[in-house]
Amino acid sequence: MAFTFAAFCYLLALIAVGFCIFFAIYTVICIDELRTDYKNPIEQCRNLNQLILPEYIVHGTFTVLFILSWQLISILANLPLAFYHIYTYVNRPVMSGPGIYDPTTILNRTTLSSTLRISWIKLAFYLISFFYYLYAMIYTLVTAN
Amino acid sequence: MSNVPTVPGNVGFPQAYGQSQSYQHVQQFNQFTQPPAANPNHGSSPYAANPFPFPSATTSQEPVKPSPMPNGANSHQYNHNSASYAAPTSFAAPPTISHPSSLSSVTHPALNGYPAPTSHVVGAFANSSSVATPSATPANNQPPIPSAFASARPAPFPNSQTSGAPLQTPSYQQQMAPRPQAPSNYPPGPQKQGFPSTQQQPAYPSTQQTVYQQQQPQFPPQYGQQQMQNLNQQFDKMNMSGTPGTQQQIGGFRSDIIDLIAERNIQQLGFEDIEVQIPQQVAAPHAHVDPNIFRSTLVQVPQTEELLKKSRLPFAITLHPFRDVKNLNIIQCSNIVRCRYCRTYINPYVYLPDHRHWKCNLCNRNNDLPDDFCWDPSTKQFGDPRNRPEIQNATVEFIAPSEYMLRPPQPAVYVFILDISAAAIQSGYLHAFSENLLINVDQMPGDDRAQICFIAVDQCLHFFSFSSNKRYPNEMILDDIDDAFVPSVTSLLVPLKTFKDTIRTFIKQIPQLYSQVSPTSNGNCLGSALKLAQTMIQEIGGRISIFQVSLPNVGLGALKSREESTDGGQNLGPATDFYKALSLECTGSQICLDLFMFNTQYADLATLSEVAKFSTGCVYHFPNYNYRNDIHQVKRFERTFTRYLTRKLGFEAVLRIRTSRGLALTGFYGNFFVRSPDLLALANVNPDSALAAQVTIEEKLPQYVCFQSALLYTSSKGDRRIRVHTMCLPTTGDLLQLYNNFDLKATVSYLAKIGVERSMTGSALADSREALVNAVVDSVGAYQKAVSRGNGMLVPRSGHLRLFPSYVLAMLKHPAFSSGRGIRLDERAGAMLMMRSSPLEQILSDIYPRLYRLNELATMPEDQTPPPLPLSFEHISRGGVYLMITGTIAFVYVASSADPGFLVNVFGTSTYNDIDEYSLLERDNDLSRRVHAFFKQVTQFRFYLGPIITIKEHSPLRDVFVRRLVDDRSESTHSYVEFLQHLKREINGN
Repeated sequence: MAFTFAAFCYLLALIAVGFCIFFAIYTVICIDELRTDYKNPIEQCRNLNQLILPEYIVHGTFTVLFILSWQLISILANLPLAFYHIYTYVNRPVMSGPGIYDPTTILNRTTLSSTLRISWIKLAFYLISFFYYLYAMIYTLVTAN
Repeated sequence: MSNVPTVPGNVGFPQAYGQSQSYQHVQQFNQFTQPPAANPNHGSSPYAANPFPFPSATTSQEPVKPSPMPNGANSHQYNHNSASYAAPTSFAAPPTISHPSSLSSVTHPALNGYPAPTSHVVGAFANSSSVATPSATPANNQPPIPSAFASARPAPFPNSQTSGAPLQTPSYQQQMAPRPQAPSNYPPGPQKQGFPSTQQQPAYPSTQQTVYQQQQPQFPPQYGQQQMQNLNQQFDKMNMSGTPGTQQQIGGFRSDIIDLIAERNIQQLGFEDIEVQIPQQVAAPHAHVDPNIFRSTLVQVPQTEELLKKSRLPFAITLHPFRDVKNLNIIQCSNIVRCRYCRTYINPYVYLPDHRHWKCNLCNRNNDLPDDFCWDPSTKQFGDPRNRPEIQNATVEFIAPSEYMLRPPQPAVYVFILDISAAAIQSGYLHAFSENLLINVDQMPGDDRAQICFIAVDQCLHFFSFSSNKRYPNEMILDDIDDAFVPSVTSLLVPLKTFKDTIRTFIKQIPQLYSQVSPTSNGNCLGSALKLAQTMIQEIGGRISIFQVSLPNVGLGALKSREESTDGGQNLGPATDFYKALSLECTGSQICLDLFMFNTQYADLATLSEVAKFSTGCVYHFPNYNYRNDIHQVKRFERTFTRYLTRKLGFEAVLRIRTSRGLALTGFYGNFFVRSPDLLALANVNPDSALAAQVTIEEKLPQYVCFQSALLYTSSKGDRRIRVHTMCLPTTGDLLQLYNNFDLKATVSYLAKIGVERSMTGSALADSREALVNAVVDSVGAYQKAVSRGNGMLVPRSGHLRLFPSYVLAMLKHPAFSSGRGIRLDERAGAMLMMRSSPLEQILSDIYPRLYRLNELATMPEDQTPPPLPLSFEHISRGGVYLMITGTIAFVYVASSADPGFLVNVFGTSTYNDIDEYSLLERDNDLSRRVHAFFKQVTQFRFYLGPIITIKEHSPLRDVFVRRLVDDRSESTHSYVEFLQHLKREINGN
């Protein structure tokens, strides 16, 4: 048993994915509030947009760490999401600040439901990966010698 | 009995009408002097001005959308009422509503208005009601006895009480169309006994025909000559829904299905509105909303989503919420009846089981009816709640009590931002601007509190500070545009009334003030000016009118020319989000931004128009405006600007569209900000803007569905009002009925708006074009499958599907969607922006202009007018004079060998060569008068229309006219017949 680089990556990813879970839950709540309550979409989008870049950076960081430590399963799981993040950010609406949510189109019902669906899927993905990283961390700790 | 004559006006109805004088009752409900069954649209009196006194501007902390109000809240209402309205002296009979004893008897509020009530509450009610309404029995204290009210009802009670009986299918009701030989005014007896409630086996009765003649939507006058065609069409509609054995052949048409490829003149079948058949069990089945206000693409709604998918027709609504209405019913009452659960306003399509309850037609839940709702203001008696204006009319306006105010009603505030850069001086728009503003400055809506401000922009910001002791305002020039500040608000934004003379002198001077190019004329810092104007009026709200000629190239939000982009992009989206962010901020502070663009050079209309998009503004584009050379644009601007200044205006508005359960609005298209899924924020609302919304079906629908739009706004007089439109549509389970009830006018408007929205938010223009073609291929293709006949281009004779290909082809050739390379970017953006905010009449006439042969007027009987012709050169004869009406301009086309007699009368010269652009004047002869009467008739209420331009066959402007003949082919586009062939291939290929 030794504290390898891979184990270190998993430990860090574990903490990072915890943040991601928080971001995802927050997004789900905010979008749902938009749909049911009479929240102001401008403020709501401002709040959400603040969290977009941190989430992408956190996720990108531990994806890079996985590549460095060559954890194949984790790489395969995370690369599609990382590409998806890059894709959405490149194709975001014209806006001067950071973020991807546009208050003028977010309340379009199709946009709203697709955004909500995406944030649910992300939440599920982060939750599963949280437990996988926990398992993988212990596994690497135990098997490494 | 002795009480009544002393206070005739206000007897018995304090809550609803307490504040107005007795004569205002008549004005308020002037339509009630007509039989209640009459359609309000029939009235010919001009738009009723607001007869109401200024209500006390009570600030309330309650939100715009009041919380659901249970019954008990009535007492609160009365309290409130007494607090805010008891003071005015106009109370002829001071209601005793503030009296504690009456508050305790919430169920008897109606008695409160009676003067000198006796001590016993019930006794007082019985006493006074027997005085006021000898024929009606008060229902307040006893179980409802509907029969007791029969005598008070003007019309026989529709069979709504027998809701258990099979409901009539909407399709049968098409036979209610007028028939020439049918006797008029059948009573609306129980309908179509014995017809099954499924739509699979339609048949129709021949007895009742013209009950609904009165309620027929009023066609615009120019349709009058098409009566016969119209009838034929109506009958064909019958044939469509009838079984083969019962078909009647009245109009000479043999078939209910047309093959488009064989039909030469598709226009001759008319383009009338399809009549909505409203089920009989609603409270007022004769009430129809004006289809120009509220319209659905499917006049009969499919019951399930599968059916809609199978039909492949678009389902959307178009709404023109603040359209000028004749005979608007204005209702002032402290207690607006709304559904307790879904907050729907009471409307003609609710179900009234008795006089104490109503069932909401949107959420289907039962509500109590307040007692004062039985008061009939027209007869001043208690009676049937069906006689109330809210029930009788699909469009009503309420004067809202103070719970509907978040703050005191704002004053009218107008800011004018004028471009005075070199390009602006060259175009000379300031001349027309100053001239027309001077004429109309007193007609601008607003009360004594109205304020005005002028800002001029070039490289610097120019402010004008008014002071009471000077005849001319001081010009203040700010050159620090990146970090600008407002010098002093109080002298820049001044009350219009106090400074009237100074302002008038100033307006007169503007063109002289900026007639020379100055050293600072090279730039345009619009962004900074907007930012400052916004900070200046953000506490109040109001309207900022922007006049631009050049591209804003300095200061905040500076733009670069991107007309000649090398990346192949279409550049219809915004270049920066500065203007959008600004627009959103303005919406938040109830500021509307309107843009007048006079550019000759590229001015990035696509980006600048974002200011108008989210703040409910309008964009008016006058390309290549020049006061010396282009008299047409000048005239058009003058007309548009006059209308712009004088039209009604509603401030700080919100629009909510409610739908029946099972329906949902999934997307809104137009100029506004979507605040929550069913609430649109409109900083200002003007009568020339419309919107479209896409509808989806979420669950199986009942027999009829309703849409209700409620527009809450502050009128320019400073009161808060709610304008409510309700539309009722029957549903159907029959696929073919959907095609027969397909409304193309709404569809074209919707498709145009959605296409513009997509193209301006980044999708490729080619995608929009493809979507348009697909829309027609899908729907016509699905119809072929539904009738499973042949492989032609079959369409039903009734409904508008037959005109769909023609209109889609015209849309593809319109500058907004045309693929041609010759169209400049700003021109395309301007065409798109027009479509995004315009009501459907303007969109339709711009896409497919109306063409009339004018010289037919000489030979026609007095009461007839020429029919519209297809837009093809084959209908233009060498000897004709033609009138064409597009969305922005009207043409008179004179062919070279036109009848000299006609020319003499109309143009004042018999020789073709002597006619010029300005020879079309009204002359002193019958024919000329008739021609001009016809112009007036077809251009009525089209404020967007410029002057009539005369084009000769050999004039250089001929191209402009010929380009509008969209059924003909051009170098790069299909002709109508080719397009049909193309569609046919597409359909058969699928």
